[in-house]
Amino acid sequence: MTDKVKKYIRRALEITLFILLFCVMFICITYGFRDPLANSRDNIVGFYAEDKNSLDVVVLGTSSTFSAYNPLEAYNQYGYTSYDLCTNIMLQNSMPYYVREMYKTQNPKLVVVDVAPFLYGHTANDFRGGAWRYNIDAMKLSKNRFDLINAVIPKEESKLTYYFDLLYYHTNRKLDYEYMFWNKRDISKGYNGLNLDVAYDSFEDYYPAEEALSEESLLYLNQLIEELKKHDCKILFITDPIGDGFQKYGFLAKAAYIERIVTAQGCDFLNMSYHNDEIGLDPHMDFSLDEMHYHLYSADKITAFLGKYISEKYELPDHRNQGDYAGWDTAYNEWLEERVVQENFMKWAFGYCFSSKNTPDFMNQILIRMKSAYLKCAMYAPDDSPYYETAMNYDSDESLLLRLKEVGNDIDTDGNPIILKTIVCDAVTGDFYDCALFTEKNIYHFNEEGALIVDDDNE
Amino acid sequence: MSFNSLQFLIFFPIVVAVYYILPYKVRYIWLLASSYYFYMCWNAKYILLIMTSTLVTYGCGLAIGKVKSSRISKWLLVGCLIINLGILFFFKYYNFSCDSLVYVLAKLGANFEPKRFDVLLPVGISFYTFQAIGYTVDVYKKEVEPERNILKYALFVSFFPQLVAGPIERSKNLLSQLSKPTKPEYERMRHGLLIMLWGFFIKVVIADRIAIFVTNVYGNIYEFAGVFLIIATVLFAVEIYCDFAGYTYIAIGAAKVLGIGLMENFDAPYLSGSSAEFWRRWHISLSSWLRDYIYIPLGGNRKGRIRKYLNIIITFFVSGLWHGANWTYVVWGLLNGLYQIVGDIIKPIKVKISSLTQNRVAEFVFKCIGIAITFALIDFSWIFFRANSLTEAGYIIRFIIEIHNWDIFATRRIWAAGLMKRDFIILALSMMVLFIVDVLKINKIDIWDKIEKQSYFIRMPIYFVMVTVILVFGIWGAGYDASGFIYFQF
Repeated sequence: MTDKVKKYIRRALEITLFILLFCVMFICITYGFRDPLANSRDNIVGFYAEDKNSLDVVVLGTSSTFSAYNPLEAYNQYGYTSYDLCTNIMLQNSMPYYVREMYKTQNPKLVVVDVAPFLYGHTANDFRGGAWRYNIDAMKLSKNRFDLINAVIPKEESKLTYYFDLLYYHTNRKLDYEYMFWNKRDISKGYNGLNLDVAYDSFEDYYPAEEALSEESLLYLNQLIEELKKHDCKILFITDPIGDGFQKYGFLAKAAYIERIVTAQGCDFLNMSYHNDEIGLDPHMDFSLDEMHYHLYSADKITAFLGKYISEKYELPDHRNQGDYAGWDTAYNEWLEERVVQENFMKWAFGYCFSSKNTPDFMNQILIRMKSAYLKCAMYAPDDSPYYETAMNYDSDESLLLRLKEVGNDIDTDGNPIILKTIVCDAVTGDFYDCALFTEKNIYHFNEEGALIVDDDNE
Repeated sequence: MSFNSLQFLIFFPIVVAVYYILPYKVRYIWLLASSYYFYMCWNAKYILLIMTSTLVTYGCGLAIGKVKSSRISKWLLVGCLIINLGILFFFKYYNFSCDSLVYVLAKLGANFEPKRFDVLLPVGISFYTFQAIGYTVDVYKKEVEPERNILKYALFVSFFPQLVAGPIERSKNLLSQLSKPTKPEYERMRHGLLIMLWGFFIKVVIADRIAIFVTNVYGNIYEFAGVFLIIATVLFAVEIYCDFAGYTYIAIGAAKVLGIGLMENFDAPYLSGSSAEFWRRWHISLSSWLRDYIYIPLGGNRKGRIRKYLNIIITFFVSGLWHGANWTYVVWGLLNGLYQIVGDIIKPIKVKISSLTQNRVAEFVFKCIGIAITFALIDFSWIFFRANSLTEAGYIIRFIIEIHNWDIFATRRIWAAGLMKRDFIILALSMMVLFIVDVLKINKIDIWDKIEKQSYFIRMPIYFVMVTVILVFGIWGAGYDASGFIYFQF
């Protein structure tokens, strides 16, 4: 080998090594900058962080699913391991890609599919950026992710910031080192209680005739079944308990149709709406946000029912107190600590909301906004860290304010510490609603460009 | 297409790859096509202006080279200047002149309403016009032979790395390089890329971060008065340096990758001990252009002290006007001219004081005082450069002098202007790196050359850290309006 050839080889190696390191760094940075507010990220990142082939059950679904089923409570009661592999606003056509992603690291004995995305019938065209990002941005960079982007994003839209979402998140977010290496476990195994109260008056019993899915939805459903059938696993389709609301009758009609389709293909089906009494749901207290989302206590009831159904029907192993699964026992104990915090938050938030309604108090403002369906309320502490999670750690407004003063390093134009800022936008269209800084004394509103809007209240 | 855009990150490697794949004889045609495409990404129609400027100066150059009569040559040169400066005047100064004329006439009681044109300022028009004029003057002065290949000449006028914000190249340096064969040398390309990285670093990590603070403060001078304005003004000095020098480094690095050497444009300007030294180190290509084509032809310092000062004032007046069609730029230019004159007058005193300093410590202290005073003076002039109007500049100076809100640190109100504590820490560390690089540079140590001479296992981590810092701490992405470079507007 001549010196010239050696030189070329050396240079090629140098360049290759640099490019490889650059790619690794680029991927880590991309993961670190992704949206910290979307529950989707914690759920999906946590899923990747689970030990390989350690899950007996994977529950695939959307936000209603991860608010209804608590894998750690199921583990504690029945001993099988499970995970909510869900994103906010899961689209029908995203689901097969999540099945592929699931089988990269897990080989579950049972896959539970919540048909809520098919009941809502949401397709990519019904939404704008926000919902697409929930579906896409939590997933690791891979060919499957690129395929998902091509399947979800309409042709006329630019896909660049979906392929390389660092372009979208950079400068909007702080680098979150915890997420850079994709090994952050989700303390609650994908479960996310929506701990805000919405009361419904009654449970009516409807037994509607079948209503066919649209051709598009049926196509996606068949694609999903086809993808699942490639693997040796049992498949259970479910619907969560549906509260009374304008969609209930239609949803049940569609569920009946889906039941016939999936059972014809050898899958099981469980419509929990017809088991409200067994579950023990209270229509006055057990719904959160809308008629298909649940809080901590209602999730306990649904989990207990569904967990029992699964463990009895599919004879899943009991891993409790087994050496190999000691991590799950630890996780459950950690969850119990988290549960206390969430319970305190619920008591405080409910009480606070009702006691100070229609006052300019900041938490009240936030709760009112949070209760509007399809409003995405991103809350940030002054250091730009997501505030919502922090809020859950405090059981009274006094301790919360104290904490905010500690972390606060920003002040308003009058020199008062800024308590937190909220950005409210439509999660469906991405339309800007409001951006406000809540201080001890004032609420300052800003327009989309970030300029201060001076109004009578502020003056 | 801005250097700090994704488009450029795709465009540039393609241009380089094709450039070296093509046979040498046609490479310049590829570069010309790429340069025109690069420019047309802003506004396709304005490529006609570059073409016009190119054709006029090319034709004049050939004609001047052919005619024997010096009188005809002179008229050809004058004609060429009228056409080129006429285009520049129409697009850049016509509306400004109308406004100024109307204002003056109104003061005199006359009513005059000239027709105004709603035209966009073509990006980089002042740069390529001056470059093309420089070539014609060089041909007239017989310092260069007229270029006969029109495509090569068109490339000289429009070479994309320096097309929109310089350096304003001289035909002697650039034209000759366009005719020399270059091979894709690994070391040279690597060196070029390293220089580009440095340019990106000071642009997106320093300049664009400072821009957030400065834009907020200068955009709300009533809300952010006093100390806010002092900090913003000091930071603006760093912003404009990093913004413009950042562009220049990227341009020089990109050209180096293509095997073409561009002139240095900045040489640690804020480490200058006097205003005159500052202008030898700041925007060198423009300063030397103005010296060679305006100051010297006016007589330079050959015609006595008074005439010299007049020439300085005229040169700096042109410099101010070159930067923008606004009286703020004119005042900025004149102020810098005034600094030069005062500096020249007090020079004997400075020399005397300097001679009194016998030891190195005293010498060093004297030098530091000189640097601090020069920085303060130059920074003061930046107020006029950055303000939207002379009235606003007046208010800024008044608010700096009259309002003493030093409590913004204690009350932590300092964070209210857009930059958080974390940003200030990043800025402080980055500016420290910039300072070290400039100190090395002023001591004739080329840090990039030194790095390039190290072994792979020392170089590689440096590249890696630079890329990582730019990616993590740079201000870019969809949430950031890629506002381009400040000097594009000139």
